[in-house]
Parts: sequence; structure tokens; C-alpha cells
Amino acid sequence: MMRRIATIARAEWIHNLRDPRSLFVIVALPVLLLLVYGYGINFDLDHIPFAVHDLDGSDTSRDVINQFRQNRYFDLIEVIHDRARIQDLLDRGTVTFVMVIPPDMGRELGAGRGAEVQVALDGADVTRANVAVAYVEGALLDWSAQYSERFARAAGVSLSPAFTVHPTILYNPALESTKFIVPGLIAILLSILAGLLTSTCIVREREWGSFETLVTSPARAPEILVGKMIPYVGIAFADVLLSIATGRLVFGVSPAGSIPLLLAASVLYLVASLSMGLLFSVIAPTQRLAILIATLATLLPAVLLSGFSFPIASMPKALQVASNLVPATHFLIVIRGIYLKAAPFAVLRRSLLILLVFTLAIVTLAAKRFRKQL
Amino acid sequence: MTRLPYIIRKEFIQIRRDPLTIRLIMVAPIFQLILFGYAATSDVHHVKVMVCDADRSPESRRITQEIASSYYFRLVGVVDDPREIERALLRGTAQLGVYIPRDFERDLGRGETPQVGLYVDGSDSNTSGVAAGYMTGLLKEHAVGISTLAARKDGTFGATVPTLRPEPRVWYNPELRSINYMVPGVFGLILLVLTVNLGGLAIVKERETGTLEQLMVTPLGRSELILGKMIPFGIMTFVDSGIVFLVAINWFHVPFRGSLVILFSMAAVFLVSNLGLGLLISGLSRSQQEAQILAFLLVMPSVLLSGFMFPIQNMPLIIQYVTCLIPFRYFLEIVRGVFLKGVGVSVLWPQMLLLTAFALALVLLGMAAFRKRL
Repeated sequence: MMRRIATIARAEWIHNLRDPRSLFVIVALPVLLLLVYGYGINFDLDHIPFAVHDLDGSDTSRDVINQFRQNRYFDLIEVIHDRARIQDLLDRGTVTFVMVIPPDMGRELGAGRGAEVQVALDGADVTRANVAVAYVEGALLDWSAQYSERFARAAGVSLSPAFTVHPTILYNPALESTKFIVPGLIAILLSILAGLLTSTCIVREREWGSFETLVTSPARAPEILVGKMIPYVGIAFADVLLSIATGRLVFGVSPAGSIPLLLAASVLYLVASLSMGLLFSVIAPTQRLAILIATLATLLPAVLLSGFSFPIASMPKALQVASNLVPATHFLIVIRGIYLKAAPFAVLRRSLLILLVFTLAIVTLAAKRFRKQL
Repeated sequence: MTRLPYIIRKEFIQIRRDPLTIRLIMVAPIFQLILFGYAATSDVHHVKVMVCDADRSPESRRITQEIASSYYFRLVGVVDDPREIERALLRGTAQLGVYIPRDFERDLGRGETPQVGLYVDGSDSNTSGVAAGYMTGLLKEHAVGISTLAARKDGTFGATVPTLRPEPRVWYNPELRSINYMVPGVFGLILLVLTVNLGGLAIVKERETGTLEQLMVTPLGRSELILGKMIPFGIMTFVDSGIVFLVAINWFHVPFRGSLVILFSMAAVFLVSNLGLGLLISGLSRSQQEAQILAFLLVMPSVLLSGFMFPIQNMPLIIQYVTCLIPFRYFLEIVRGVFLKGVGVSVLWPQMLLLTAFALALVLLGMAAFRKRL
């Protein structure tokens, strides 16, 4: 049995070696993507462009504007003098928000009353608008706190907060998004790669007509599947090592936890993803379809549902449940846990166990479907 | 050109024989709409918080109460031992921890300033940063509230404190729904992924199966052959984009404020640009697998760097220049502008011009690459 598996594995390996261009692309692809996205994807939002329309023109309003000017999160693009310009700037997307300071703001505040600053936001880009609202609110609150403290002190009262907040940020104290994104990217890239590698390897034989030769060989169905997969586990594992090295050398992000545990978990995840690709290869009648199904069924959920780019807690309940059915969700917990939190095996046991169950289920399913088709 | 209808018919017959492809073409947009519409929210809410209340006083309970009733947080537990917080952060069962020290209430009563601890799981830098900001804001406001209340009780201070608050007016998308941002993007995504993957690669398939030569010896001209191959897929994806449009308006209630003519004429231009890209890929590759890998290499960056999911303004400057080479970027700006802002040619002309230029260039390049390989 071992010999038959080895023979199939060698045949698949030779097929790959015959096409060095593809092989090179496959090996280089994750590193390249890691570089592009590691640099490209960035959630840190600063230098939000804004314009200001000052209808007050008092010392107080100038003080507010100055505070925004000095804040590194904002970039003052334009001081406007005409209301109509607001629409123009927002339509073109030149600024994310326009701050309109009402007349009498300085007088109202000076009299101890509250005032409101109108903030016209471009809501078309929800992500930016949300962050911008939070930042504007924070900046105004800060300014307001200073102002009311000065005001109260002038009246002989202390309005300093009754207690203070002392934040401690664990695992990623500087809140650098690369530290979070790079391990996530490694997981996503592996699922893409695995889908690309194996989703064509059986259907290809069918399209070329060599499938029957394979069937009439003495190798049994599970042997064929395992044999086909072995070279790809090798290639993909090389990619894991390359990605980890790239993360360390280029982005300075390396695992805080156990590397052997990381590698073992990666192999488990690779086998799960590769056998998923094999399953599609068995089901699909043509190579094109196999890849299309692989994209729809693995890539999209891996990118969208796994928590790679969007917080799972913010999703509707049904999708939160669905996210548990995506292997990438569990692998992300593991790889991020090891990279950022140095999480030991005991903490990750549950996620690893789920991954194992997934892998076994998918391999069994692929073998079953494959046998039926013989 | 009279021969063109025949080859289009031939292609349609070929597609019809393959019911899985048709089903996939119909299912793909719905699947993507659901995923992008519901999963892709970058809003941060329902963040899991654990409170360690070492004081167990009415004052500390008020803080816990306030956290529990906030939309942004979900209280996962109130514990006595601060080590529980650390454990929860490591396991990911909580993302924030709030520590209220012993004698908190007594210290407040004595006019001392106690310190409340905030523990942040910094690994998800984006969500954590925003969530920590919300929590700090909530606690600070509570702290100022306590001292204001005390000052008022003393009778040393008037009823109001001068505060400056933002009054956000969100344009185009008043409720800041992520759906309004993502779903119009899916309209473009369908045109991109399906056309490049299906239409463009149709020619590689003919080459791989050897039927391309049969077609070449027929009296068909080269451009007839290409057009005949492309038009059926073009029509199908165009129908798909129509479905997406209807679902977007009627199911997701995305507002549509602009001109249908601009939307669909630009969709046609974008379609041509993608078919050109597919053709170029076909011309450059020898096998379907190679073509798929190449398509991936070009489509993935298009999706991730176009601003479809991640704001371009957040990217480093070099990558921002790279995004200028992605036609999808211009189409997205057009689609979102037309859907949400209702802007027309006067604002969108640069994008329309660039998109058309890209479409022309890609078709010409594709034709040239195709000629070379014959």
C-alpha cells in the first residue's frame, strides 16, 4: 500500500516538475502576496482629510480649529466660506468631513451653556466615516474637558475626573496592525494556495483522459487521494516556512509562542485545505469549475467569515454560527494565539481539536465521493 | 461578420450542456451578496468585556451597569480575581477587562482619585483600539459625571457645564450602513471575477483540449473567434450584474440616486476591460492551471487593493500609486458615486475616462497576445 501511494505521489511530483514556471509561481506566490498585502492592508486611519467652515470667528472657535490642526489624525485641507462648497467637497470625496462651527459658539460657551458643532460626513465610505466620527468625538470631548476645567477653575470649582483610567495593552502594546495582519495573511494565503493546488489535480486527469489509466491501476481510491496530496503538502509546507521567514525578515513579526506547535498546526490546516481542494476536484466536471467552486466555497468564507478582516462579534447571529464551519476561523485563532499571545497548547486545544475533526471529515468525504465515481 | 452569430450560438450550446456552470453563475452573485452584505461590517460593537470588581460597592456596580447596558459592549462576567481577566484575554473569551480596585467607593468619598485599570487584548489592533477608545470615553465621562454631581451638591456650581458636542450629519448614508457601502461593490466584483475566470479562460481550454486548431482552420477571422467566445460570457455576467442590482435595491434597500445609464454603460466598459484581461491571460498561458494561477495573481490584488474592502487612503503612498493601475478602483468609485451620492459625469468624468482607456488598452494587449500564440 505504501509503495502504491509513493508511486502516485512521484507521478504527481514529476507532473509538477515538468512545469517549472508554474512551480516557481506557486512557491513565490504566497511571499509576493504577503509583501503586497502586508504593506497594503492597513487599518490604522490617520490624516483624515477635512474642511472647516467657521461661522463664529471667535478666539474660542480658532482654538478648536487649532486643536484639530495639531492632531495627527486630521489634515485640514481647506477653510471654506460658502455653504455650497460642502456638497462639492463631499461629492468629490476630497474630504471625509466638513466641520461647521455655528455663530455665537464662543459666546454660548463663555456663558456656561453647551454648544454643538455640526459635522457633515461622507457616509458613502462607512469604514472611514465610522472612524472619523469616533475621532472627531474624541477630539471635541478632549477640547471640551479642558475648556470646562478652565471654566470651572475660574469659578473656583474643581471638575477634574473623580477617578482615572489606567490602560494596559497586552500582546501588542503599540497596537500595530501588521502584527495582527501578517499571521492572518499567512493563514489566508495557505487556504488560497491549497485550493489552487489540489482543486485541479483529479479533474485534470479526467479532462485529459488519463483518468481511466489511473482507475485501472492497482491503487485503491484512498491511496490515490493520499498519493496525490503528498507532493502538495510538501510544496505548501515549504510555503509556510517561506511565509514565516518573510514575516520575520520583512515585517519584523515573529511568533511569540512555540514554533513546533505552529508548524504542527499548519500541517493540520494544510491537510484540511488540500483535501477540501481534492473534494472539489472530485466533484467538478471541468478544471474551470473546480477552481470557481474552490474560490466560492473556501476563499470567500476564509477572507470574510473567519474574522480575518471583519470582527465576528459584529456579524448577525446566523453568520456567527456559519463562521464556526469555516476551518480558517479555527486556524486563525491558533496562528494568532501563537504569534501574538504565545498561547500554549492547553489554551489552543479546543481549536486544534475542531481542525482535526474537520480534516478527518473532509478526507473521508473526498474518499467516499471518489470511490463512487470509479 | 455574418459568421459571428453562429459561433455565439455554438458557445451558448456548449455552456448549456454544462448545467453546473449555469447554476454556479446564478448562485455565485447571491452567495457573494449575502457574504459581503452581512459579514463585511467593520463596525465595532458587542465587544466582550470582563469586569473584575474588587470593591463590590454601589459605586462600582454603577460602572458595571453602565458597561452592560452599552451597545458597544457585552458583559461576559463579573469576577473577583484579576487573574481571571488575564486568562480570559489569553483564551479570547474577552477582549477588554476592567479592574475596579478595592476601596474604590471609600476613596471617592474621601476625595482621593482612585485608578481604574483597563486591560486590552491588543492582538486585534483595529477592533481593540476602537473598543478601548469607547471604554475610555465611557469611564472618563462617568468620572466627570461624579465630580459634576458632587460640585452641584455643594451648591458651588451652576446647573450646566459648558460642553462642546459634535452633531454629526451623515450624508449619502445617514445610518452608516455597511451594506450600502459593500453591496454596490459586489456589483463590480461579480463583473470582475466571473468574466476573468470564465470568459477569458474559455480560449485556453480550447487550446488545451486541442479544439482551437479546429476553429482556426474554419473561415472564421480572429476577431470573430474572440468576439464569439467573449459575447456569451459577457451577456451572462451582464445578466448577473442586473440580478445583483435588483437584489441590492429590493432586498438590501441600498439607495440608488444616480443615473442608470451611467451605471450600466460603465458596467459594459468594465466588462470589456475584464474580458481583455482574460484574453491577455489566455494568450500568456499554456495550460488552464497556469491561466488560473495567473488570473489569481492579477485578480486578488485587484480585489484587495481596489478599495473594495480596505480604504485606499490607509495604504502607504507607494501602494496608493499601484492602485492607480487597477481598473476596478475606478469602476468602484463610479459605482459608489452613482449609487450613494447620485453624482454624474461632472464629478465622475476622470474615472470614466481612465476606465475606458484601460478597457481599450487591455483589449488591444489581449488581441496582440492572442495573435502571437496562434
